[in-house]
Amino acid sequence: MIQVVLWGLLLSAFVGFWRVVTGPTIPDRIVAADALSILLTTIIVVLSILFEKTVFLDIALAFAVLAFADVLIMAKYFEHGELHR
Amino acid sequence: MTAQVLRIAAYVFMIGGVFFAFSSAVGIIRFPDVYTRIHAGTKALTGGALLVLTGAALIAPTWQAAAKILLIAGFFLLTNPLSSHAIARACYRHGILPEASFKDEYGEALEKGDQR
Repeated sequence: MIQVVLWGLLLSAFVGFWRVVTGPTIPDRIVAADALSILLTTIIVVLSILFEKTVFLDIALAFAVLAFADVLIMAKYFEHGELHR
Repeated sequence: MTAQVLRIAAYVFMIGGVFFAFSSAVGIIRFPDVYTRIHAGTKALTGGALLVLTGAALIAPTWQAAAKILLIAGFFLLTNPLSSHAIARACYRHGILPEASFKDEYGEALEKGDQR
């Protein structure tokens, strides 16, 4: 049953990855990558339930924090064209 | 008995979350504009991820794991609107306007010198 949830999340991630590949502009790719990071964090949590390993949850938390900072840095770079402002 | 009810509730939450996540992915593919794609990728995906994480917390092996999953859910609830707002602001300041827009109040406020 939990494999169905996992495959559904993976299918959503692949559908969103199509927008990362063929996005016409840069912010399209940033939005799709943000969505992909959230989906992948959720997939890691579901995997920790499936394998009954609690260590995966720490990895998911660190990945969520890093992806958030990543999207903020990409948005700031896209806005100014440089970072030191 | 209680474990069975918890398991059924968790799978209902998880299937609902997968539905929201998949509709969000379809919205990211199908919508015509950057701002509508941000809309699809933020609201529906936050709701879907929160539902899946709530379901996962219901069938977590220990209560520490459940608390950690709820911590991740709260982090999503705080940061996902923030990052999408940052992307939308960067799009506007870069000069991308929404399709078929007829009024630009943010641009008028910027021209009056209102630094927001």
